Amino acid sequence: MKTWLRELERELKRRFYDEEVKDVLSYYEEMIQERLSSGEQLDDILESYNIRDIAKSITPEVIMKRTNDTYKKAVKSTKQLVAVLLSTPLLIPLGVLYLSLLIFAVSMMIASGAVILSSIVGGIAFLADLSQSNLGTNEVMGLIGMLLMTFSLMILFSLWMFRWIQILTKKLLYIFSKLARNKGEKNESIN
Amino acid sequence: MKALTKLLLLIFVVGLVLSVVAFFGGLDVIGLRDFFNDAESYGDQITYTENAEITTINIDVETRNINIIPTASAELLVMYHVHEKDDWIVEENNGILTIYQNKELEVFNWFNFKFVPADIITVYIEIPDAWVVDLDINSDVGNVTIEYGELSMSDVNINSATGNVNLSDLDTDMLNIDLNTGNVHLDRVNVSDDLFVSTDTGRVSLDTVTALNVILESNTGSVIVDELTGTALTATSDTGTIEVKNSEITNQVDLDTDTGAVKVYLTTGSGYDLSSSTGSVTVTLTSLADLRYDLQTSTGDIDIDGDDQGNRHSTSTGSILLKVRVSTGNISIRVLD
Repeated sequence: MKTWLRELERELKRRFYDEEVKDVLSYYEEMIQERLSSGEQLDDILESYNIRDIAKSITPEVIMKRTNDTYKKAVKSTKQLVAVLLSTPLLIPLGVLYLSLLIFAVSMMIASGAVILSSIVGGIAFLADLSQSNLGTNEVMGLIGMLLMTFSLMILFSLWMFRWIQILTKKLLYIFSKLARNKGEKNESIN
Repeated sequence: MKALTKLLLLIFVVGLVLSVVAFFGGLDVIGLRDFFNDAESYGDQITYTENAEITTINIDVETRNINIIPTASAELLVMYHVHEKDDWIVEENNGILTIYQNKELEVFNWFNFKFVPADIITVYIEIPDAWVVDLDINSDVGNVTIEYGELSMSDVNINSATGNVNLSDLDTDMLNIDLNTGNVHLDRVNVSDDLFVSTDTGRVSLDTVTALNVILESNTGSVIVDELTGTALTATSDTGTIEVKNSEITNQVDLDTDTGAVKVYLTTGSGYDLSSSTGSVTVTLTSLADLRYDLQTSTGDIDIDGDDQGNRHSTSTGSILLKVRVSTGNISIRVLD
């Protein structure tokens, strides 16, 4: 059993963080012990499990529980979820929908970034243009005032949009992980 | 994030204060308007005068509107403004007048806060109304307008990437208009030969037009025809309504749209071939007596003068074939009360 658990640990470590691996290992260790105490043979029990299938089927559940509070974690979770959704025939429609929503979210993030960048560069260019004009003090002051108001509003709006899309992406990750898990469980119960 | 939000709100308040102080300090609004006006980058108006009779006018401009105006005078005038980064050629050679404008590419001109009044970037061409000329226009960005009087031309070709075309009170032998993005409107135009109008994105509208074979195409945009007199009419649109009313077509009327309605109202023809993938077809005529029907709709109903005919209906008598094909939509044939 120890050898099997080590193999499972090795497979899980390729996908999940240490804490997550520990949780999954203890769950399977407990489950095997329960089956042994109910009279099943160890070889039969271990034969009924496929390590790769376990790692794949557990992925949505693990992603759901993961905090995804850093960029690195969120990207890793997203990649794992997309891989699971697109590699399981039953989940492919869900995967396509998730991928479409992800593309939309990323496009919006890029658009927000572009607005921020163009506001900064445009603001500098406007100031450069203004410095060469023959306008009076009041006109220059008025234009700088309007520039600062427009600049701050544009960047505020873009930052809020960026943040809102981040939250939406996190929610999508959770919702689609849950859907994948539920569909997987439903499929297992039918089989 | 919170600190950044506070900083941006602070910048907004500073901007507001500066604006208010400037306003109460006597801000000169006209001075501000001048700041945003780029007219001074253009020189004074140049007028080119041509007394010799011109047979062909070739216009190739990059960033100008073209406005052609008939004049009772015996000389042709070209009036334009030259930008400091423009190349211009306006010259006559063997009866051919060439008007060429090219704008130098500005690599670091991504942020332009200035606008130019329309009359500065318009080339006005006054053509003696007694002259008959060939007109060939190529334009990248800009509108093309012929109006304010009656003008006769032999061939008119207009190619434009972005811009609207408005022609009115024009007599010509042939008329070809090909646009990428822009609307086309023809009003009181008489074409003695064929008329071809095509736009990728834009509306095509004809009002009181005479021509032989008329071909109208729009990928995205409606085609609206009112009072057309012609030999044959073919109108196609990928996405847009096609409407033909009060027209007299000697031969066939072919109207085809992928997404949009097809409407024929009081329009004569020797036959009609109407189709729409998604959209209804409505035909309103003064009489249905001579019609031979071949009507089919996959998802929808056929209604002939109030009688439901299911989704397929054909008859074998009648000299005028009315063929209609619809995938999703109704077919309605009505008699005007």
